[in-house]
This record gives sequence, structure tokens and C-alpha cells, in this order.
Amino acid sequence: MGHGYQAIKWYPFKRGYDGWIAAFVAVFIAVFLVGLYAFAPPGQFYSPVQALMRATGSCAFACLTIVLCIGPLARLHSVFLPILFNRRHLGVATFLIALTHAGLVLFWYHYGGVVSPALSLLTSNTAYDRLAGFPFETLGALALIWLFVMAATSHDFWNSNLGPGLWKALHMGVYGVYALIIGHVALGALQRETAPAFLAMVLSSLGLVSGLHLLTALVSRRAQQASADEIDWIDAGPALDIPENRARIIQPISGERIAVFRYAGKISAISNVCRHQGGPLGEGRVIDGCVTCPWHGFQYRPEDGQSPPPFTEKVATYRVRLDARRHVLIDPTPLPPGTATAPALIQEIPA
Amino acid sequence: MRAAEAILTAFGIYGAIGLIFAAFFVAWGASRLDEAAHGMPLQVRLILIPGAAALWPYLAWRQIRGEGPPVQ
Amino acid sequence: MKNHQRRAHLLIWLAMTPALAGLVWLAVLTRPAAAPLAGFVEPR
Repeated sequence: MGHGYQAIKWYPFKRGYDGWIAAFVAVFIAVFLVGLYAFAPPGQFYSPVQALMRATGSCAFACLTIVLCIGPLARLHSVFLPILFNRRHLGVATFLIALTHAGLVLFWYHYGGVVSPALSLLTSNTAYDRLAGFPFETLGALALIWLFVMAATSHDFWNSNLGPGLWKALHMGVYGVYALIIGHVALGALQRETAPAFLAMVLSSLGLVSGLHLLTALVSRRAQQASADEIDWIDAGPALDIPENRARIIQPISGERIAVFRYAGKISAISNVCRHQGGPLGEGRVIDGCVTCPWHGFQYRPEDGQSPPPFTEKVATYRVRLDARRHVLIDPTPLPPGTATAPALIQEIPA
Repeated sequence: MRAAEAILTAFGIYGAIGLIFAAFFVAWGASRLDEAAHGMPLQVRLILIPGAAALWPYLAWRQIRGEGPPVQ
Repeated sequence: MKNHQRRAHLLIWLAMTPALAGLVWLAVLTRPAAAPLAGFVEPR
């Protein structure tokens, strides 16, 4: 929340998370190596460095696949929110594994010649005009550079100092990285490794990542169309149907989504978009009187959309009232961020 | 070959300037940009070095303009 | 997530899915028939 930076705010959950990442990487590489040697076609021989190269490359690809699936999974169901919470650690791990892979390649194929390893990588194959034998290493190198930029700017300091717009744009580059990696794998490993397991790995990753992103986009589109019946005030449904300390998310015809919270016998409406990284506030809960973002725990008072002191973040608020049926009515015009507006009282019988 | 050499040289120069800038940035520049960065522990400063080295043109421009963190 | 970002995500994946699937398909089609390690630079 932009107040006194720490290297990493360690607590048991994060340590456990990183433990799981380390365990996954170790198990993946071990299983991969065993599989590679056990199922190698006759006549195919891998030196230990070549085997490790393939293991680390595949592991980085698997980690990137998981990183990309976390976002849509968390939007589809809240049980996946805990893995979203610390996604950046998995991203940094992906970069480190990819870096190991690149280091092994440079060492094995390009080190010790008359030219430097990096120059050898760029010049040993320049057949950019065809698919068979394409210099796929360049695609991997570009992806690695961008993975580095994202890993290097993953600390909260960069999130607040580059601003949410630029930071998000840099990190949306992960889609480009994924495309580069698919190219790198398809034109590299897939052309040389004819075992169906390699093709299956690439296709299942592509199916999972693309399928989940398209599914989430379509689901949220449908939700948007279903709630498009508004006149002036939006009817957000019966107040008592909103669970205590939770929200209902409303999509006005134009403008951002609105999170309608019920807490302590009151109803307040604030923007659904967290100021930190755009997390869905309406999927969070009211904790200690504050709306708490499910992504990174940023908090806002429901009455005025302001973060409690010493924090200074503010989100837009919306005017609310109850009609005779005790339905929540919302004025879809956002008030300036941090504007206090009276909550609707559920006990009060409206005129 | 010439093109590849030029690319690598440009890369090297960018990185070298970046590292020098990063040393300045984590020692002084960051706290000029962001009040919350005053008196950051050493570990945080070290973590910020790669990012500062990668994004130095943008950060240098922000240092010259002397403005605070952007808002959206 | 804002609405325009939501739309951008949908468009990105609508474009990227067939493009990447096509690339994988082409790469498999153009596989060299023999010599599985052809194209790799030999260690020096």
C-alpha cells in the first residue's frame, strides 16, 4: 500500500507458496529426466547437459503455462484466489528457470569458440526466411529478455512508481512472451523431438491457456449483458439477498462495474476496480469495517471509498437507496474517488 | 555478422549505462521519486537494481522532470 | 479489471489462439524427415 517498502513481506503463506514452487520444479525436472532417458528412441543419445537443457526449458514452459492460467481461473472461481495472491513469485521463478536453460544452451553450443557465446548464438544460424531450421534460439532470447523485465519490475515499488497503466502494460507483455515461447518450442524442440509427448505438452498448454482465457472472457461478457436493464437508478436486487460483509457486482450499461456491499445493516456501493492492480473489489469481503481486495488485501472504507490512514488510495463511490420492496437502487454515475455518501440503512422502512 | 555485433554492442552499452544509473537510483533517485522509498532497507535497494537498470531511460526522464508517482 | 481491458484480453486471445495453433501445425508439417538433431550447432 505504498507505505514503507520491504524486500518481501514474508509470512507463512508466502513461504509455503514458494515451497510448493520449489517442490514442483524439482519433481518436474526429475520426472522429465527419467522420462527422457527411459523413452528415448533407439539411436537417440542425450548428454547430461543436453538432457538438463530440455528439462529446464520444459519446466519454464510449464511454469509459464501455470502463471497464465491463474488469472482466468481466479476469475472463474474464488478457490483459485490464493494462488493468484503471490503469482509474481511464480513469475520470477519462471524467469530463473528460463535463465538456467539459456545458460546451459550458451555453455554447451556456443562457449569456447573464437567468437563470444552471445555472438555465436546470433550468427550461427540466420535462416530467418524458412520454417524448417528457423533460428528459433532468437525467439527464446527475446522471450527471456522480456521475462527479465517483468521479473525485475515485480516488486511493489515498481507497481506504484511506474503507475498502474505502464506497469500493467509491461506485464501484459507476458502474452507476447507466451507467443514467442510457443514459436521457440514449435520451431525448435518440436521439429527435432518427434516423440508425441512433446507435441502433447505444447498442445495441452496452448489449449489450457487459450481455452481458459476465452472462456473467462465469454462468461464475463454474458454476465455483462444479463445485467443491462437499467432506467435511471439501477435495481441491484433485494438488499437481503447480498450475504453479510459481501458484495453483489453490477454492470451498468456504460462505465465500470460497481460493487454493492452489505455490512452492519447498511448498503454502500463503490467501484469494483482496486487502485492497486485493478483487482475485483466486489469479490472481496468487508474485514474490520473495510472492503478488502481479494488480490492483495488493499482496503477501502465502504462509506467513502478511501483507504484508512496512513494509506491514501481512493476509489469512486455511488449513491444508493432502497425502494419499497427493499431492493437496492444505485445511481450509476460515479462520484469522484473518495467522496463520502450516505449508506442505505436496511432496517429503515423507506417511504 | 556486422548487424549481430552492432545489436550486441548496443545491448552492452544500454546495460552498462543502466547499471551505473541503477546504482545512483537506488542510493538517491528512488526517494526523490517516492516518499515511501525514504530509508528503504538494503535488501529492497538491491532488489530494485535490475529493474532500474532495465528501465533507466524512463526513470532518468522522470528524475529530470522531478515528479511524484503517477496516478491513473 | 476495467471493461476496455476485458475487451482487449478477449481480442488478444481470439487472434492469438488460431495463430499459435497454426504455427505449431506448420512446424510439425515441416519437420525434417530424418536426423533428429540436424540444425543444432555441434559443440565446439
